[in-house]
Amino acid sequence: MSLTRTLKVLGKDLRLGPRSPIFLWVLFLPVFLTLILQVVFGSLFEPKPRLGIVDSGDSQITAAVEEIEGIQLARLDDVEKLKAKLEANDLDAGLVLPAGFDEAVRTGARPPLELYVGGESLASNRIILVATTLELVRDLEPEAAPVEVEIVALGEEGLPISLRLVPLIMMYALVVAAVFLPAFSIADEREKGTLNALTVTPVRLSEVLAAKGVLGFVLAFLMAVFTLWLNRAMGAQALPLVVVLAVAALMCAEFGLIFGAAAKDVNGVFALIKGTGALLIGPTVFYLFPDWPQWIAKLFPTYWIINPLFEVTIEDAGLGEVWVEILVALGVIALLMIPVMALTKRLRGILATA
Amino acid sequence: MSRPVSHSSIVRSILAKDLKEYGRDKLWAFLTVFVLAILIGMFWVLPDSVDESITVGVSPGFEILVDQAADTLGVDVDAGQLDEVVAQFEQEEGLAIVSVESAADLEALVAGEATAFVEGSQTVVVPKGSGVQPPEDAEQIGFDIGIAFPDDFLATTASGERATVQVFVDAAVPEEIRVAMAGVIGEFAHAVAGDALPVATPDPEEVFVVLGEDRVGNQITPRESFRPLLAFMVLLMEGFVMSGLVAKEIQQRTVTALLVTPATTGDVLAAKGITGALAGLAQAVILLAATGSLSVEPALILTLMLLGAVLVSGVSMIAGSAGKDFIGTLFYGMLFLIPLMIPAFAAIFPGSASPWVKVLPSYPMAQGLVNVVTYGDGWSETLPSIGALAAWCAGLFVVGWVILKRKVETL
Repeated sequence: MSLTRTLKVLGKDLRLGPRSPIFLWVLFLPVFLTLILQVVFGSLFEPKPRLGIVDSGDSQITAAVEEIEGIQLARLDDVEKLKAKLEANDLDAGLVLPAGFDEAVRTGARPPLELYVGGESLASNRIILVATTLELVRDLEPEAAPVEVEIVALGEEGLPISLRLVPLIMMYALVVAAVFLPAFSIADEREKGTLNALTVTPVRLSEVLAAKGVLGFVLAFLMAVFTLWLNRAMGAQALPLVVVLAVAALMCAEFGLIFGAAAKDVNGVFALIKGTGALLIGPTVFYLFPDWPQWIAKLFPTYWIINPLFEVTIEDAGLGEVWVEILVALGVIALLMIPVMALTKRLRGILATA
Repeated sequence: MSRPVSHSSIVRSILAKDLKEYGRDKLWAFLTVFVLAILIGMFWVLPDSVDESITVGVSPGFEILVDQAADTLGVDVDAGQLDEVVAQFEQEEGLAIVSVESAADLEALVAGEATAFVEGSQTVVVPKGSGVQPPEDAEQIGFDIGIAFPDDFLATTASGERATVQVFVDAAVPEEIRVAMAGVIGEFAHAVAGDALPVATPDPEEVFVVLGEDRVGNQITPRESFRPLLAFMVLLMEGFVMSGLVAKEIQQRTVTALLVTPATTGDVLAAKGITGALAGLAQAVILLAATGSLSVEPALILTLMLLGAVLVSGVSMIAGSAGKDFIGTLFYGMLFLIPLMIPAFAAIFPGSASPWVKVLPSYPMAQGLVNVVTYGDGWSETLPSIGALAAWCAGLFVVGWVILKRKVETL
């Protein structure tokens, strides 16, 4: 295998590659997924109770609710709008505070409480919003409460959803760059006959595939760094990050070569991705649901690259804490070389008889 | 010499050729079945219930609190009223109260150093790593919040003195739940002390009014809310196949070969459209049948799915004629088809979709499916959705047809 020839093929792929829409995917997907998953779906996993308030008198209650981080507050100017939103399940509860409400409570006039809940709101959201409302109404009274509540927080705070989504987003960035790009590129060249044309030159098939793999590896590495930066999850140490990213990009590039060499055309690559994509991405779901039995994730080969990445970027782990996983990942990479070589040999045979 | 061939038989012949070609690719056929099986499996794995309650540990048990109050306050205690207040607290909607013997046990449970098992009215606390076997048939309960009342809480509060209550919370418990717990305990204390609310409520039993159908205990489960998304994913996958088929015919120029036969461009396009719609519809029907979604209004659901399949087919024609090769087609396919998934995604979230989601062509299908399967809507309520969807289908199919026709004619 000649390094010069491999680099020449790589240079050609770098020059011509950006014309392919797949390059656009590689660049665009991390941004798109970060936006969709963090902004839109983050709220699906940790929904906040939603309270609408029609406040006609600048009540102290509205100001207090605004300061509670976990309650999604919507200020409305019309009671009918509030009711419509509650009936459409756009809000969990709604409170109407007429002008002079606070003063009426303070003077003991017992003003009417106009508090509504939506029929589709969860019982847990109802109790949170109703209890909070009553607590804030009670705070208006001049008398002290008959009880003092002492909150004692125990244990460590869990990871927020924004960080638990990082493995999923990062894995997609790796898969698109290191799996899709080489796989589609190989299949495309095979379909168009350019791969066959190359075999009549001094360039060997293994050099072509190596160049595709290197391109996938480099782009995956860069896009993973960009994705981590985008999600503000670069970790504390540079060396462990570089090592685990390199291992991850290498394993993914191998999958790309396997898919590309195994499929007879780009349709076949798409079919393989459609069928096995879930197996590549699978372990990332276990970070979203920490209550699931975590040992299942270890059955996936990509777990051994995802977990060290998670440990290094999110938990600020060093190489000393993830070396076992890196060793297992290197073992998987070594094992994957067997199908890569076998499929390369098979492809060489097919091209020779074509 | 030659007898005229009808358009329908030409369309049928092209359709048969396309379906044969589709089935000939063994890998593709296997993966189609595989993905369908995964989606069906995914549906059944999704939770079919909604946990609406916040589980709260309370120490000591309420019986002990009431007994203590009776002992301390003697004959003056209005045990009947205290019992009622305590019962009201225990049955508070949205709270699942579990009694634990001591504050120390409660603290260990919230800190994750022990596990609670409930058997009837008994709660057994097993320290982690102790090797103690939990009672048989006992249900394991996990909770992040524990309220430790002092033993004399009821007596102290009922006599107008100020008591202190400790609330143990896991560090992950969000602020709004902590505030709410303080509110719940405050109201309990006010009720024990006999303080009325400082506001007038429309109903003496309930401080709020429920608007719309009260679904507490009967919420839409994740399984139900994911149904339109899964059905649409099947249609979408077939949309990619359809656009791939179209692109292949264009690249290999087999479409021009077909046009020297009695087949017209319209016949070819009709056959392609029907192939895409049929392939998508067949899989969607299998998915809906396997997920038990056809038990109510099957004809209505099938109508919605058929229109959805036609819609995706129309968009696929546009994508298929836009791309230069399969990768390009896939890229354009994603560009055109992924936005169509947004309404199905939106159905997972509570509440109505944003106005911009409502104008997407697939919105009437996703919303119609949710309304029929989950809310039991019939034909009359779904007709506006069907009308809107049919209009979108017609529009997109015509646009797809025109674009593809022009492409074919320029080959």
